Amino acid sequence: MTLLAAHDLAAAYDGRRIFSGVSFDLGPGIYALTGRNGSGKSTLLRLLAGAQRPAKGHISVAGRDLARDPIAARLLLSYAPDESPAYPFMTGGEFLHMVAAAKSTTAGPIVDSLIAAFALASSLGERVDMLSLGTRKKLLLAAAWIGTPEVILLDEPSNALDGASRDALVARIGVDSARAVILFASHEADFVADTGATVIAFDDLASAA
Amino acid sequence: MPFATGLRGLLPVPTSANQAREATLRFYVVHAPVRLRHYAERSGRVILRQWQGMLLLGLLVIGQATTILMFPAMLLAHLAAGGNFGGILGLALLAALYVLPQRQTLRGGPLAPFAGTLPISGATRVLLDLTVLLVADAVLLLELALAAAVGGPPAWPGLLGLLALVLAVQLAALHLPLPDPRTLVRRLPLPMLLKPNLQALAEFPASIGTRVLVTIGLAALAAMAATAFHFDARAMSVAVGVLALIGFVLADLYRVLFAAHAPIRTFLATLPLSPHHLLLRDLLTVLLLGSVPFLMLAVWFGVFDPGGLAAFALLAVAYAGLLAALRWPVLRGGSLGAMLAAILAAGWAGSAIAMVLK
Repeated sequence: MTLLAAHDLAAAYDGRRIFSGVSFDLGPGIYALTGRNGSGKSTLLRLLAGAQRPAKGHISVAGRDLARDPIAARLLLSYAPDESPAYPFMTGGEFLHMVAAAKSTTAGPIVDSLIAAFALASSLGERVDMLSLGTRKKLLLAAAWIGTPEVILLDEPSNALDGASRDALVARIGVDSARAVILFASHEADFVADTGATVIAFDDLASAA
Repeated sequence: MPFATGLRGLLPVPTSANQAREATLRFYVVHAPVRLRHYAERSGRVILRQWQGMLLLGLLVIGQATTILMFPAMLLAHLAAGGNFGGILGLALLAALYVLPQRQTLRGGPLAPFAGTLPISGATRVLLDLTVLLVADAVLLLELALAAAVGGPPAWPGLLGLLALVLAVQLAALHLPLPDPRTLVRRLPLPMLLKPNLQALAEFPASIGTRVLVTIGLAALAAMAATAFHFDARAMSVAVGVLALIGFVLADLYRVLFAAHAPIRTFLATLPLSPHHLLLRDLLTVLLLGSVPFLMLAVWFGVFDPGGLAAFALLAVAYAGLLAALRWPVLRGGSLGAMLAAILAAGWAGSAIAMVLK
């Protein structure tokens, strides 16, 4: 069963091609996108999440075309970027509230369990710009589990996480791998190995510019 | 209480179209204040950074409140009556130019790409954009209200039409795919003496873009005033006054450039360059940007009043001197830099008017 499909994707920035010719079909499971710095892994995740329009190609999420049926597709996907996109004045709780409101849902017990595992509860009332890098990362990861995403895209999810939170994330990814696509970009070989992810080498996937 | 349980009471899962609409409304209620606060914080920071200029502007508005507030209102009432296609086109152009330099902030800043991945309907996104635009257009709304009072009920439909036109143009300008100004400048075939400085300025597309647009707008206003005065002595006085104002607006570029040079200043000192290399680069950059509105005015006078060109030749030298001299108060004047720059520009305007009218 294909949950995330990309066909002939190309990315460009101001007319400069970053990559092209990316095609794949992914069913439920854990996938780690690896590759050298600047190869375009984060750009590919942004494209798949709908944060950036592809220069060419199609993306579908659980059979919904991301360009033609964006709301239905986005309801089924979650994205945690590498850096916090939240306004500095927002609190962590406000950020989660906003994502939950956008998905017309509640945060849910899984998010509660992640908040507990990440020891995030005491930080939810703090302004985002007062949070450490690791805490901001935990917030983005918790937000990624709001709703019932069938495709979860994570950019460098283990960056700046403490050991306990990293283990909790590995466990959470493992639990959901049977029902969802969890695709993450990572440079951390140990984290990739711990999740048991299928490694996708970005350079094999794309034709570089 | 677990966080999610707290949310559950606030956000029931929608089970019907009606509830989906309610959920959209709830998202709007959550997101709109955040977007507005972001816009207010960014705008507030710009106003605080430019407090001296804002104070001068405020004093000008208080001193000439009736003229400054009523002239645009009368103009809007005239446009609302219809028939002046050029004027309406000009208003649409102004509306777009107002939005372009600040579109990053208006679109939601750093949150915009992430918000783009959320399942929000197109209508909700437009509603959020309109909410922020209406706040950004507060001055226009005030002018429209004054125009409505001046024109009375017959003018109201026309004024509403103008508001709809402005918002539609601004919405389009907000989402128009535009090239990154940083990339544009990088690609321009410019001499190395100018290119790094223009790249440094392109890092601040909103504030620098606004300044450049304001200088061009001021030149256009001076040209219109000169035409209205039939290019008599008043026309030249207005042109000189506007050039002084343009110099004042551009003077802040020295501060931006000085800050941009900070990381490289020590390294440049180790290279076989003149000790005045950066000074020369900055002067040339400000002169280049200042030459655009000056040439606009000179060409306008040259076409309609060729006799005034000799005065413009003299004025060119004096204007270049003003732009160079403004570097001193901006970089050495400390917290009163803008005030000193304003005094210098005003003094220059007086002397220049005396010179060209002699």
